[in-house]
Amino acid sequence: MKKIFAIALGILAAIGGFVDIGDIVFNTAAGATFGYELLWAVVVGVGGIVTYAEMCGRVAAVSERAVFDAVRERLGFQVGLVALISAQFVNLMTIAAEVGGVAIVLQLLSGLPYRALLVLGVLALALALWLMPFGWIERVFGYTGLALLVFAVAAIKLHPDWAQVARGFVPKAEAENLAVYGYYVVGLIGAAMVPYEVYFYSSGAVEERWRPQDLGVNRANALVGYTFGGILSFALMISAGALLLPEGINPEHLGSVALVAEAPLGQIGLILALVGMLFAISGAAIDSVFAGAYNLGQFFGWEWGKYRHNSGAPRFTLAWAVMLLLGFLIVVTGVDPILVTEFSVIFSVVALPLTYVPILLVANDRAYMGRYGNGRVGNVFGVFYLVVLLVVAVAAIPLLIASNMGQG
Amino acid sequence: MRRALLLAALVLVAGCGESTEPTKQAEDLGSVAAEGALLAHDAADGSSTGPFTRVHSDVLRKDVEKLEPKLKERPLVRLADEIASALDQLPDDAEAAGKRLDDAADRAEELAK
Repeated sequence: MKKIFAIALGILAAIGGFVDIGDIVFNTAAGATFGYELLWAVVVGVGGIVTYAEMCGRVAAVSERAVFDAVRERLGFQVGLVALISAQFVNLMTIAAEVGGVAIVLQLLSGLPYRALLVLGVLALALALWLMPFGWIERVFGYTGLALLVFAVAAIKLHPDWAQVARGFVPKAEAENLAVYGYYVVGLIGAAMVPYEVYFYSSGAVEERWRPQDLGVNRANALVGYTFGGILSFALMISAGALLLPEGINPEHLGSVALVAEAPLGQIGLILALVGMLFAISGAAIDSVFAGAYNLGQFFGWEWGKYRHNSGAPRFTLAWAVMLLLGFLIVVTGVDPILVTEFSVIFSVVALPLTYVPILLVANDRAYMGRYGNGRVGNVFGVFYLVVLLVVAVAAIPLLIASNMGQG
Repeated sequence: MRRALLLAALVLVAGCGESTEPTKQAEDLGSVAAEGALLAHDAADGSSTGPFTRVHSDVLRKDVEKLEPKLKERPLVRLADEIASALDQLPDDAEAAGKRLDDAADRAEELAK
């Protein structure tokens, strides 16, 4: 009974922690631009993160090694260093976007000046990173992020055409705006599969000392948690498609996203949407800050991990503090966090194969994995998603330019 | 390789997200007006909060200010002025602002045709 309860709590945390600023921005913008036509791309993205999160969680539980341990070992120092640099670059952009997003939501809640809230937000994140144990961080932000389920209620209250919604799960070529359509497909898949999620997930498995007997928890968290997390993405896209598209509104701000819950549900909808966004984005900021420090610690062989306490892994602690500070310095210049989000998602797509190839290689390595290596089904999905990732990685930058960042 | 990357970066910095075509500019203004109208109506019937209405209307007004220097056609310039002025009425006079923004959204739709 206790184990089932623990699994349920883990799943809830995964649902609440699934959405970050990239998902919020891309799902809402895609809904406002194409209605429900791109729901299938969310399914593809969620399938990808489920496949690879399960794989890297299994690798961590069996070999006690996280992603960048494997990257360094399987790709060698030089190629591994390229992977590390690209991962850290994307991580830094993600941190900047999330930190800026936290300040924007705080401003929408309080009306106080943005820059003051940026400082306050970073201090609050630093305190959470410093003081909270790993399990608490994961769960507190995951559970409170569940307030985003208000968008599912909003989607129902907005009475979308459910037949059209159902048709959105079948891919359909959009000949008129092919570049914009392609840009959003890439963005939605990229937002669902941002690399920091697997760095954090696999390192978290090591932090929580998963062993082969925890593979059921891993499977449940990855499969059920991320799949239900995808519902939040559907809800954002459906409610934006039902409310913003008919009005010709192109949502370019987090406030526009909150309006989607406010219009059908009033003040309570607005407040739940803002609180949900605040905790989901804060949780993602913490995950991506830790992911950056995990990568450095694993690649250079430092002592790493929150379970060692701050003084037990000083270089790891310094690394996350520097990552957070750099993210703050980027957004304090006045750069628009939403613009940074769009760039970070598209650039992360380019870096995706460098993250996912080593995971697939290690998950197939019997010397590492013994009898827990990938089975046939795991490999079919793994290879399918690798091909998808290679295609979207090649197409990402040309589509960003050709579609004028989705503006047409 | 370096030149290609530099070129790509320049294209990104120079071109992305900016609109110079009048129909696209009308669409952009219409989007801001429609969003402002939605916000104003919610504020008028007590569905919003004061800080949210004030902060978000400010953000929308800045969007109009960003568009204004690129507008070449007089009807678009007048429309932008009208939207910015209506947004300034928020949150104090939400009902009147909502009506003006509805009208502005309709005019933008006409201009975008």
